[in-house]
Amino acid sequence: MQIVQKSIGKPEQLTSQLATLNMPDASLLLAFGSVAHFSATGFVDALRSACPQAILLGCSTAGEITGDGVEDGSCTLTAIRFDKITASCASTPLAEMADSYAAGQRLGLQLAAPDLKSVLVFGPGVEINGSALVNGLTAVLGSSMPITGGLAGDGGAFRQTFTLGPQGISDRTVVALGLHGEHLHFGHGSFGGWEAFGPARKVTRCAGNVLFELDGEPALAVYKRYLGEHAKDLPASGLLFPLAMLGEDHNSIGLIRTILGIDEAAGSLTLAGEILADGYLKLMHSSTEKLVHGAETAARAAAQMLAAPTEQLALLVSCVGRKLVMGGRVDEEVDAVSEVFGKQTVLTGFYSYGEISPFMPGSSCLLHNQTMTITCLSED
Amino acid sequence: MQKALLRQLKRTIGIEDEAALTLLLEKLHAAASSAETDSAGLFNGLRELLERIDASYEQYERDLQLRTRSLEISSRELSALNDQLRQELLARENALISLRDAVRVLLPNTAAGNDSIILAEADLGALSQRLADLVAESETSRRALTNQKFALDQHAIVSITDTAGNIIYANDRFCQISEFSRQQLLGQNHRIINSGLHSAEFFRDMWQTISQGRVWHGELRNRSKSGKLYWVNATVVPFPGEDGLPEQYISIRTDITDRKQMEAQLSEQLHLVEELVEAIPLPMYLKDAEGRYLRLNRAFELFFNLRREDFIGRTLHDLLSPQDAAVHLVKDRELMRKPGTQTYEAVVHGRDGVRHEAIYRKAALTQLDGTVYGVLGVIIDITERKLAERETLLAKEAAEAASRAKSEFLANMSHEIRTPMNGIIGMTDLALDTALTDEQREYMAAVKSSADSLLTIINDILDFSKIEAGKLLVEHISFDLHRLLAETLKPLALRAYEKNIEIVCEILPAVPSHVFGDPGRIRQVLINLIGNAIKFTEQGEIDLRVSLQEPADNPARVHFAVRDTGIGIAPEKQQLIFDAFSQEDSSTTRKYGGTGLGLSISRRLVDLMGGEMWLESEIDRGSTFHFAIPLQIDEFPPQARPAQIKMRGHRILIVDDNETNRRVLAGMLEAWEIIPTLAASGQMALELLQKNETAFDCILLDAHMPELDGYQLAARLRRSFATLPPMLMLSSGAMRGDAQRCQEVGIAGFFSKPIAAEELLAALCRIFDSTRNHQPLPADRLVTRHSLRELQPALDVLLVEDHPLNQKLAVSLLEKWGHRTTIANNGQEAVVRYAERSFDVILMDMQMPVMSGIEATRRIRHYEKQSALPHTPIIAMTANAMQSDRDACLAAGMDDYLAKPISAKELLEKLLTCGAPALAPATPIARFDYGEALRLADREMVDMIAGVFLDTWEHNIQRLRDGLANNDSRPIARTAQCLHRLLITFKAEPAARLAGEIEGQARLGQLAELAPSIDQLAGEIDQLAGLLSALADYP
Repeated sequence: MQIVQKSIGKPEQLTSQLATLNMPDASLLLAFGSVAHFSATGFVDALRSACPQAILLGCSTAGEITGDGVEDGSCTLTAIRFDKITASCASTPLAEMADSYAAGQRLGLQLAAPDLKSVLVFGPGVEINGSALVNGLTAVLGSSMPITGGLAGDGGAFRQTFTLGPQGISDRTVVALGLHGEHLHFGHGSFGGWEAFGPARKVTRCAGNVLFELDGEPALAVYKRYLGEHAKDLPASGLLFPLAMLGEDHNSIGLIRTILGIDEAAGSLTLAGEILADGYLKLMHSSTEKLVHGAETAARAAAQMLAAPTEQLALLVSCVGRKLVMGGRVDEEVDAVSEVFGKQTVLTGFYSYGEISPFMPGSSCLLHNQTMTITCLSED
Repeated sequence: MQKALLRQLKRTIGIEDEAALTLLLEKLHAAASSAETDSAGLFNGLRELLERIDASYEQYERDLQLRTRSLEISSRELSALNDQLRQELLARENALISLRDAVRVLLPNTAAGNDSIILAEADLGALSQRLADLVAESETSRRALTNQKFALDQHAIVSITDTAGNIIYANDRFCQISEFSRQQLLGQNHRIINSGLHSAEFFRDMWQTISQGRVWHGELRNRSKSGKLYWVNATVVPFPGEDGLPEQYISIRTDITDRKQMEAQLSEQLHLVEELVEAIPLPMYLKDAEGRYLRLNRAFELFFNLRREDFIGRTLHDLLSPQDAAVHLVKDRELMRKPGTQTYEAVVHGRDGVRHEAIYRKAALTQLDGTVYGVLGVIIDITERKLAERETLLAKEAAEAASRAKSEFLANMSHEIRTPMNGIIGMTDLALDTALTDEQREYMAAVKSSADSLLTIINDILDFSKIEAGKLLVEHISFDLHRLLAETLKPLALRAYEKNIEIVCEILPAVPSHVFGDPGRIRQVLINLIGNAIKFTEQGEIDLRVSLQEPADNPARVHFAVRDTGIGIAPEKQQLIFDAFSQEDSSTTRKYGGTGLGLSISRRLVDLMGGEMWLESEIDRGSTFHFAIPLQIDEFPPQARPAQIKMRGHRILIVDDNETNRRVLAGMLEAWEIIPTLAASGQMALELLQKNETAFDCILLDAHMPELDGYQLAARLRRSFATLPPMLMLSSGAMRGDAQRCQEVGIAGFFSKPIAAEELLAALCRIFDSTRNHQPLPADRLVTRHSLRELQPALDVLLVEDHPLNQKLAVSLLEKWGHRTTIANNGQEAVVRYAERSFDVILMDMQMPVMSGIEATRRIRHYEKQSALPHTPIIAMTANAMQSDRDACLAAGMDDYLAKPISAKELLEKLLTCGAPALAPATPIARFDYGEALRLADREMVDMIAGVFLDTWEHNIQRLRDGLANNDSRPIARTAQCLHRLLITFKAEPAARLAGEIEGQARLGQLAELAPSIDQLAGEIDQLAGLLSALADYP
């Protein structure tokens, strides 16, 4: 496997940078960039001419990750040539949020193959029920199939995101990559680093991934109370206080949910994924240290799954919430990951509105929020 | 820029404010271009560095702010939550306390150990569980209570009153029985249902009891709204209030009106029984199991002349004499042992010593489980009845004596009358046989006719008397029915012919020939009926039809019907004619003569024979007299001589104008497989013969036909045809001179009608025999009945008769017939004569001086036995027509009897039978093949009884001999019957018949001749036994 990475600052620089890519026989070309890049004309054509045989895959972000750190407004291109691994791709339009589960199924059907070993999926970051999407994929592919990926971002605007797939750029398409063959080695890890605080609040009214009331009080009101003056920055500021999902027994079930949107009229919060209707939620907070440490933990988990680190690609899908918390120090978490993996690993990734990964090795895949989710690929 | 940073910069670098910083940064930037790389890097990057640091401070600030805020808010929230929870907990606690209190109250007073623990703990779970349990218990009790109350209400009349006696509750039954509605009852005082029939005392007592808190029981009467009274069994229970004093009374009652009624009824009935017992006129007593008197009624007192009080508790020993007591004691013991009833006669001596004959009727009284607890006895005094019985017995004996006297009188009369009658008739017959002038003949004929009439009348009267006296007995002997009918009819046919009436006899084939019965009586009835028919018919025909009534079995019910075309009998007279002495009307007697007894006698005879007689008749059309009698079929008749000549296939022409006759004759011929051809007139016969080439073997001619009679036809035939088959003439009237006429026209045989089948067969045999042998029948040798008969050779006859006239009579007849006669004047002479020489037959009169016929016969028989002489037939000539006398004759050893006055014909007949043995030596029973017979017998049956038979037959033969020796006919009859039956099973016909004859003789008491028969039987059985045992050994 060979990996070449280029980081393009401005959309105008795309063509010149591509010329230096020098991997016309790339099997896969991952592109993570800002909305500006993805909206630019000729973006896809340029990519295709540079790597005519490659599968084009990617999405818009809320920040781009390379081995050097985090960039905003850039576009990271990572070209991979597989020697033994075979890759397939799939895409499906997402009609609306309620279509998320079916879309996942559709993707799954397209990818399903006897030697399918792992799946990489990228979906729109708004107007989507991420957990339903994952459930749909799992329903078709089985709960033991490792599915990783994330929801596209749009620089924190939560308005319109883009994905790149076989059909090109679209704001309502879910795209997926299937990796086949026994020569593929796969590792993953996901960790948040957030801590819950305060009383456990009962979900008194919710619908799917829309939270209406907590303890009989409109959920939005609760948030506004806690955010104070930052409430005006909702929904972005909502990333500061993600929700920890608790079971009936008030124990954490290990999932965190982030706000994707708010509804002032209904006083409701639209979350990135579903919550338990009879469950409890607690507010969470974190510090930069904790988050960095969390990223490190994720990296270690992923690294552990692979044998000896050889040349490998590490896809980092981190959450935009973390970036908000860490502010300028966000590079530190990438550094932490990089240190764990070492020089041999090429890092790529983006800040997303939702991360997809198996929670534990072997457990089913879920939509995570506020995590650093890492996927490692290597070929033997 | 963050103030903090600014301050720090101020401290460290000495920058005053942001503007100064900006200036510095610009300176640095400018300196960067000329500086070294790493310094340039610093100069260039410082701005950004500071910005980043600033951003970080800001971030930290923000974070801190947020965190603090979060902390505050969440603390507050948590506190609030805490308070809330505390309050809730408090409330819960209070609830728990009140719950605990409630439970404590609800718990039964005796709080169990468990319960106190539960109460002590504040465990809500356990507490509520306990509460739930309590509620459940309470519920259960409540339910049980409701059920009980419901049950109670169904059965009992329930009311609850307050302390004042006002009704506060009344159940449905109370309302029902009191006929008040609930509204009417509630609030009312309980006394509204008082019947007013109980004393004030009664109620006071009740009130006292219940007001003291005690339960009162009793029976009382209440009155319903409509005034109806009803009895109740009441229990009144006070309900104590909290203070322990009664605050309510509950009254529970059951309606016992019915029971009270029954009790009343019962006591009434009991009273009635008492009265009955006393009223019964029979002495009645009741004893316990030990024999002690418990009750005696008035009649008993009177009977034994005692007072009951004295004897209750005593036993019969105290009442009766020792002998009497003993009898009854035994009986009592018997009854006690085997409960039931007893009836017996006993002699009882009353207290006054008077002897009573009584019937004791006792019954054992048992309880439900069967043990006897007493005896009930009733004494019926039959002393008077006994007396009456004895008197009746005496009367009966007197009556019997009278009856015997009557019989003797009848017997005597019979003899006294018959003897002179015999003389009159006999002599007249003789006279008529001599040469007489016409005038003399006429006179003699008149005399004969009168004598015959007189004899008939006398016989009728005697018969009637016998019947009335019940002395007439019916015989049960074997005879040939067909022959009897033929012989009976012939003389009647002659009479009918004189009136120009045809007599036809039709015997249906199914009618058996050989039967057991009383031929004489049957003949008597037939003669009476046919005689009447002839009397009352002017023209036409008289038809005797004999058939078998369904079903055909043994005994066969033979139906005789005598039909005439006479004057008929009016329906209203039809019953009358059977009554004695009445004829249809008095004019009949004058016109037709007769005593009027005939039918009455006939009917009675038929009745005695076990049959019935009835009549169908129509005025001027004719009458049919029917009688049907049962006749036992003789299974082993004496073997008839079979036709020796083969009849089969012969052709015979029958010429008779009477259709019935033709039919009967044709039937007879067909039975022998002869082919008959029928011609209804002489003319037809001629035509047939002329036309037909088929040769007839014989021609039967009726003498009396219109246009061309038999004789004329025969003459014509003789003239017309060269060869003719033999011709037989059948004539209704056999006259003297007929033989002559037959000879003249060449008729081979002459017979009077109706001709018996036997006669015809015999005649045909003779004819075909001679024709076969191509011997023309000697023309002068007419085959007549007489000639058939006259085959009999002359007999040596010993006539034992004391009356000279009778002697003369008999001798004349005998000599006429060619027999040789020896006369003995009395029994003694007869014996002497017999000793001197042998005779073919002895004619023995009964009443003779010196020695009677009976005595003589006995002597002769004895002598025969002693000297081993052959059996000489002895025929009694008796005036006594009584059965007993005939029995006596046979018992003495006679073979047969003739009634006086003797009819020549009968004498001839009897002699014939005697003669038969002379003709052919006593045909020994042809050696019968018993072996063959056994093979044909029912093998199973044979196997079953062979053993027993073989073991016992000799013993049985001995029993027969013993019976004979003891002159006891009963064992002989029984044994012979038994043997008869067994032998039939073996199909040993001859032996069976012998046994049957022995039985028959024994039943008639005729033991005299049985010895040889028994011997013969023994011989036959011996043969059979040999074969039987062989058969049994080798299956």
